[in-house]
Amino acid sequence: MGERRWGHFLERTAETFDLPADVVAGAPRMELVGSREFWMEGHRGILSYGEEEIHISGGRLVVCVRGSGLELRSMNANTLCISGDISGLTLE
Amino acid sequence: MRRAINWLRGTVTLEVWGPFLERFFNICAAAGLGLWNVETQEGHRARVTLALWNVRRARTLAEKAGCEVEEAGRGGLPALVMRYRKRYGMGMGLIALALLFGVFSQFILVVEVEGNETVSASEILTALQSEGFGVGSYGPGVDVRDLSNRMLMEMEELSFLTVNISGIRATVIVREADPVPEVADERAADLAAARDGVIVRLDVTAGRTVAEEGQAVLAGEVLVSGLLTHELGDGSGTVWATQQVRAAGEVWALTRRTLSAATPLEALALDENGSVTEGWSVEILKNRLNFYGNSSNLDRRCDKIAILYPLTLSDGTILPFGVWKTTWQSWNEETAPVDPDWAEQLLRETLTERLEALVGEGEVLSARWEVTAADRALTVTLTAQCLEDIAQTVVLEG
Repeated sequence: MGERRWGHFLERTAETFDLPADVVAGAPRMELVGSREFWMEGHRGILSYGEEEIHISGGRLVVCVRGSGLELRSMNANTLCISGDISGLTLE
Repeated sequence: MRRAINWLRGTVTLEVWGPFLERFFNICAAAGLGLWNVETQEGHRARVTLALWNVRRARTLAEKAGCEVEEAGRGGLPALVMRYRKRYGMGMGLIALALLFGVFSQFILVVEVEGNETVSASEILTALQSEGFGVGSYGPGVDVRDLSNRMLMEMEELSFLTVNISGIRATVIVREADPVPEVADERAADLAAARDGVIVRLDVTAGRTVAEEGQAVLAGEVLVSGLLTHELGDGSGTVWATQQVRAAGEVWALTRRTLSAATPLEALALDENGSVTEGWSVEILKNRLNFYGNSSNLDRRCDKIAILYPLTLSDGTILPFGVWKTTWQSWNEETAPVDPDWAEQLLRETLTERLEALVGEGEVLSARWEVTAADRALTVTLTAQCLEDIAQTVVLEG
């Protein structure tokens, strides 16, 4: 079973048993506070960085944060915080 | 909190530039180097802030990510210390200040008394001072239980005392003892004459009247007897029973009092041309530190006036720190004449006050003054006729 399918399976299992997917399946956990602050736990690194668009790896998916004046407020191995005028989030 | 911790740890702002900035961020994050305040700039440049001790690793990681790094600034406590590291005086001053606060915070600087109603706070504080506790005492060295026991033995007016020490402030909490009721003296007694006089009026409420109005009595003579006799009713005068009572009443009599007072007609006067010397000293926790030499070897006699200027808080609390100003006014012994009229007036006032105190509720009917000056002294004699209560209780023996 490929890693992607195994991940899907774990997420489905967590959903079935009403368990937190970020704990069971290691899925990233994202939080948007208003439109000025975006938190992400369990990221796998930044793929591209710019003031208008930041791509973040979440393992099986890529999170694209769009907006203006985007800024990486803080970042460590597990968590990152982006601030700025966020206009959209896309999961790819 | 986090900002405070970061400030204490120290921070560094790095300017990073290169084609793959995000790679630098990822490597740092993966290596456990927290980054914050990432500000992007033009030309693939960014400013990042990180902890001071991660700088060296960040430089290494930047090389791996193909980026270049330049330090843009430092902040926090370590940077502040480094900036002022050569200002030894300031450092010593800060250390001395910290020590000073550390040491003085162990001493009692303020003592308050609570719970007293009839006993004044100053009485309690004085008693505490005599037991070795007060402003300037070393707080951790105070044995509250022992102090409380000694204070309760010393001050019978108190039934409870404890001391709460909080930092430099000590609160003395007291409870006063219930007052001992006054016991009326019920012993059998006579009323005797306190001084010579002629009786004018007798107001006897208990006892047997021995004296009568118009009678001249000598001091010590019984006026009202406390010994009652009961005779048979047959007219024979036979006493069949006696009873001892406490004689009571007032016996008003005309008395004569002679009071005398004298004062010298010459007095020592200050020589206004004498020199004045000033000295300053500092008081720290009841200990004085003098800034002047030995002042006990002055040739001439002098007055010494010491004024304390204490350090006072805005709420009026006086701290055990202050400055003493001591002034020595030297003078020569010079005698100067005293105005006889002024001296006579002074003596008259003194004698009048003494007479009024002696007569009490009575009154002065007439007064005769006699003034004599002899041997450089003025003597004033007051002879007064008074109306006063001369009854004096004398307890019967046996």
